[in-house]
Amino acid sequence: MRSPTRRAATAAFALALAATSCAGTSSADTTSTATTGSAETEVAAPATTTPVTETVPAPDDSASTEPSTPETATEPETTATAPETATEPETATEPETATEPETATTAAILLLPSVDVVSLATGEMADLNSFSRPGATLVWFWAPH
Amino acid sequence: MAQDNPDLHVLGLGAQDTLEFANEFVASGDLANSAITMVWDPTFASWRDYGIRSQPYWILYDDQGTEITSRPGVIDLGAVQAVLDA
Repeated sequence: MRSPTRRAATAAFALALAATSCAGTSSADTTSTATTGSAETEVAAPATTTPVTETVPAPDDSASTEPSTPETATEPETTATAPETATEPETATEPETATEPETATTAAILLLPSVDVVSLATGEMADLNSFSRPGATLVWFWAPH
Repeated sequence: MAQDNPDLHVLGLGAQDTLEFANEFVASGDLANSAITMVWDPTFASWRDYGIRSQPYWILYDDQGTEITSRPGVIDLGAVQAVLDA
């Protein structure tokens, strides 16, 4: 037989354990635990272990401590941004050669002195230039005597 | 020569004397039916423009009107043909 003092101490210890382990639980549980002497150890045992695992979550060290490695900045592509070299203007191309004037290919009409002469074929007076013809010309100077 | 070279125009430019003498000259030489264009200058002005002081005399021009030969005497057919062949 336990002495009343020992029983009171045991009940107080059990109450303290229940208060510690059952934090957040309803007061009805605590009350019933304090009043039930045989169930002290059965309630207290899970009360000491269960809260530890529930209230202290294992920190995710890998997620929190490892700093994310910053992505290295990619170097700008300098070659892609290089401006295109300006194309040379087409002034270097040779202009089309001008066609030669028609006077170079066709015969010119010889300019003769503007003098009235007699056509011996018709007997008519006419300007000497009216007898000029295109092409090479031979002027023959003659006298009747 | 003018008949053998249709590209060559021969102009006979006469002066001095009279028109009758000029017509007799053309008739005697049967030049009326030739390819030569025969004219007569009663004023002698054309000869003065050319500076002609004796006859016969001849001046050859190419097809561009450039003077090639200018000389007195008988016409040098070889020189004329050379110009036509050039």
